[in-house]
Formats: sequence, C-alpha cells, structure tokens
Amino acid sequence: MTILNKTPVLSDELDLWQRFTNGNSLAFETLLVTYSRVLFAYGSKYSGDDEFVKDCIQDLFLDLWQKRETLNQTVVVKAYLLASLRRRIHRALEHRRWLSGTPLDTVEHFSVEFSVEENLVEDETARSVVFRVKHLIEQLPKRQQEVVYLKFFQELDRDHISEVMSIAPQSVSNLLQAAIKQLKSQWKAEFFCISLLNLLVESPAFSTIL
Amino acid sequence: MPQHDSQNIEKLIWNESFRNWVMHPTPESDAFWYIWQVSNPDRVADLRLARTVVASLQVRDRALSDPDLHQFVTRTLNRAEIEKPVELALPVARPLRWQPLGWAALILLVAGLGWQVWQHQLSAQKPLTYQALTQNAPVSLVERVNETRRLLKLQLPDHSTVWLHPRARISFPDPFTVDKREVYLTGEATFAVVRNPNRPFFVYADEIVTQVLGTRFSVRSVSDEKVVQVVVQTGKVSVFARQPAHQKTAPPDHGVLLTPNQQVIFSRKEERFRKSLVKKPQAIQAIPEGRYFRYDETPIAEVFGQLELVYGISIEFDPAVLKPCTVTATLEEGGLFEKLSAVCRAIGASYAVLDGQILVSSAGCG
Repeated sequence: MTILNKTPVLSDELDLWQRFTNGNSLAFETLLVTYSRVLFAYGSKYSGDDEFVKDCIQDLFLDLWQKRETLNQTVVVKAYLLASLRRRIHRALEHRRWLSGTPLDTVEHFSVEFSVEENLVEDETARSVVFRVKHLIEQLPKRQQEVVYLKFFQELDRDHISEVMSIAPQSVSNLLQAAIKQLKSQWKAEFFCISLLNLLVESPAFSTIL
Repeated sequence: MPQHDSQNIEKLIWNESFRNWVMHPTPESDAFWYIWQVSNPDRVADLRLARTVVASLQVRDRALSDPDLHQFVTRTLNRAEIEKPVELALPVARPLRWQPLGWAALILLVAGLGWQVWQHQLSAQKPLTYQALTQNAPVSLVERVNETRRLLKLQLPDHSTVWLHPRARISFPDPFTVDKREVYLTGEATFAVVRNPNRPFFVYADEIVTQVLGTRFSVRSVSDEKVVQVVVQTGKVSVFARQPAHQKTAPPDHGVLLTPNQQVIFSRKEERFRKSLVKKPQAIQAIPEGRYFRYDETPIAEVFGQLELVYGISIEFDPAVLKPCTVTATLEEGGLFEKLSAVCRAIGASYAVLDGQILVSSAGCG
C-alpha cells in the first residue's frame, strides 16, 4: 500500500513545521513568508523601533533553522513563534535598558492601539457603539489588554496565551476576569446600567475560560 | 431606526464563533448564521450592528509592506545560507517588449484600444470569460502563459505555487492586494496555496469562483469546453457561480463545498454544479499500522469506517440491514473503488456514487 504525503488541511501547519524540522528549506521559506507579518505586528507592540523588531524576528528564525533537528515536532506554530519572539524581545530590551541604566520595571511595556475602520461603519448608532467598546478596551491595564488582544484579535486560546505570555493558564483566566470586571464597572459608570460581566460570562468565548 | 438591545450586541461582539464568522466566513458558518437570523428575526438588526463593530474595530498594526517582506525573507534566507529557488524563466510575460517593434506596437496599441472599447461594451451581455474578467479587473495584472508542452511551475507573489498546464493562462496582480489574493485562470492549473486566513485566495475561472485558505487543488476551465472542473487534493475549498450582473460582490449563496477526492463540474449551458468523486481517490492520510485492510470476519461497519477515514469520503449504508455482514479479505492492493468492489462482492451488495458520496445498497446478509 502506498503512503501518500497528503494531509488534511487542519494539519497543514504541523506538516509544514515537520518538513521544516527535517531541513526542508522551502518549508523554512514558507514559514518566513507566512509568519513574518504577524510576528512583526506583535513585536511592534513592544517596541517602536522597526529595525530592532525585524532583527529580533530574523534572529529567531535563524536560531530555529540552526536548532531545527532538536525542536519539538508537535507545536502550535503561531503560539510557539509568538512566545519565542516575546521572550527574545524582552531579553533584548532588558539588555538594552541594563546598558543604559533604565530601571527594569519599565521593560514589560505592551502597547496596543485600536482603530475604527470608518468606511465600514454605516450609521451613527454603530459609530457610538464601536467607539464605546474601543474606549472601554483602551482603559484596561496593559496586561489585561494583552490578554484581550491575544484572545480576540490573535484568536489564541487560553493555553496558547499562557504559553505566549509565559504565565500559568490560571493567570490568563484571572487577567481576563479582571478585564471583564473593569469593563463592567466602567460600563456602569459611563453608560447604560447594564452588566457587561453577565453578558460576557454568558458568551461561550468567556465561559470556556472562567 | 431599528431598536437595539445593548445586551445582545455586547454578547455577540465577544462571542468567538460570531467573531470568527465576521472575520473569516466559511460556507458552514454562513449557513449557521443565516439560520440564526431566520430563527431570531427580532435580533437581526443587533446582529448587523455587532457585525459592524467586530469588523470595524481593529488593532492598528505596523505592517510590513510586500517589498519589505520580500527583502526580509531574502535577507534571512541569505543569512541562513539557503539559496532562494531560481526564478523560472517564463515563456511569455507582459508587458510586451516595445523597442524593436516601434511601428507595429503603435498600430497594435491603437487597434488594441479599439478592441478594448469594443470588448468592454460587449462584456455587459457577454458571458464571464477570462478576457472580460482580466480586462475589468480593478488593479493591473501580469499574465503568464504556458506555451510549452510540459507543466510550467510558477511562483505567485505570496509564494504559493501554480503548475500551469500547456496553453493555460493565468493573470494576477503583483503584488497581491492587501486583503485578498486573486488570480484569473483559463485552461488547467494545479495550485498549492500558502495558508493565510487573513488573505483569502480566490481563483476566477470564467463563470466560477473558487475560494480557499490554503490547500492543494486544481481548476480546469477551457473556453471551448462545455464544463468547468475543480478537483480537491487536500484541504477544503468552496466553489461559487459568479454573478454576471455585479462582478465584485460577495460570492452568491449557492455554491458547493469540496473536500478531498471530490470534484465539481459546472455545466456552462445549464449553469449548474454537479458534485462527484475523482476517478482515482487518493488516501488523504497515511494508513495506520495494524488491522487496516486485513480483515478476518470483520464487521462491515468497521470496514467502511476505515475506508471513510483513509479516503476522506463518506459512505452511506443502512446499518440495520448490513449489521450481520462480515468481511474476510486482504484489501491492500488497489484504490478505493477496487476495495469497495471487492467488499461489496463479498457481502452481495452494490454501490453507487452520488453527489460526492458513496451509497451502498444491499438486501442484507443472511
């Protein structure tokens, strides 16, 4: 019986990763093309220096290529790459700050900006709701914002967020819960008397986490 | 103005499956949310509003442009001491050479203009041909033609690969636009698409549109043939008929979803899709070690289950009728249809292929 090297789409990513760890240079190139953009977008949340972020991504890929034979064969590629980049950037930033004598507590600085794509908003009601939601997220502390960003804008699940941020899965849940609590009190203070917590808890997205 | 319920809106905005549908719709999720709207007519206005919020609230990312990305990839490959695959020499690439043909080119250009205007006027009533589609594309395209007698391998701007069959033509913007990858095809080609859910990949082949995320499949659309054919090797693709009236609208809701080993044929005359199986279905996964295809009084349901798993094709049968049937055989040789024939012979059943599935009928074993 012939065994064909074909795999269903769900394992495409894993298949690519395994071909890469086996030293297939085309697979390496495909990884680069596929993930450099998302890595760059994520890395830029930690530093405004484009060249610095690109260097970190490049070093990350070169390291992976060198160590390819020793790498784990079954990883969730996106989460793995984001986690590795985050560690690498933090190390590099710490090193920089250490050299320049800046205190270490400023290292973990995650900064995400939200924007509203105006031409998708048809009417005033939609506009007021979308800006309200944007405002609420922007009020969250940085760590909570990062969790919300990874969960809803990078579409990672709890375990992968915990991998990326190097914190326990329980801490991810706690951060998300805190985010919800914050959103709830803000919502009450500034807008209608409705409880966002109840809403979010009822939504399947959050109930899997809480 | 419609009445909104803030609770409903918030609930939808942070609902994972809702967000997924808005950001990366699939035929399945389209169907799900369509049914949701039908069963919650009073919440349709909320759903629309929530959809607007999800789609319009974005993270402002600093993006790598296509040239930046290209440069970055090349530089990284160089440092890793990997040579980039040599760009293939292309038999025909537009724009055509200008210099040695000054006069001829000028005449052609003038004639070309007249032709374009004429074509443009015609395209209003004409069927959707490759020519009409490429001429009316909103961005400028480059064209590649395979004038050789062999398969021609090309790389697209996103590093996806295309194997063009002889005489096939393909056009695409270089680079692709930011939000989607669109190519126009006439003739036959096989695609291996780099997965990128944020930039769906579309193939426009005359009247039909094929949408994929990342997969391997082939499209055959030869203008003088009566049918257009799409065959899936791995992954999932959806195929839609294109609406001639408004070219750039979202795919119409009548389409088909193809899984591996299925193909669809679109009849130009009837404008209808017919789904079936490919002639020689291929195993979509490595065959597991052990009891696969070596049967000793094995219940028929297990045999069909293994075939379904290996070939990714669903096999319908009446479990009540076939329950007593067992198979004793070694089926390691031959493809799916040979195996099916042998199994059906053994239990006195017959099978038929219908709508991309296999139906087994039998009077039972008794």
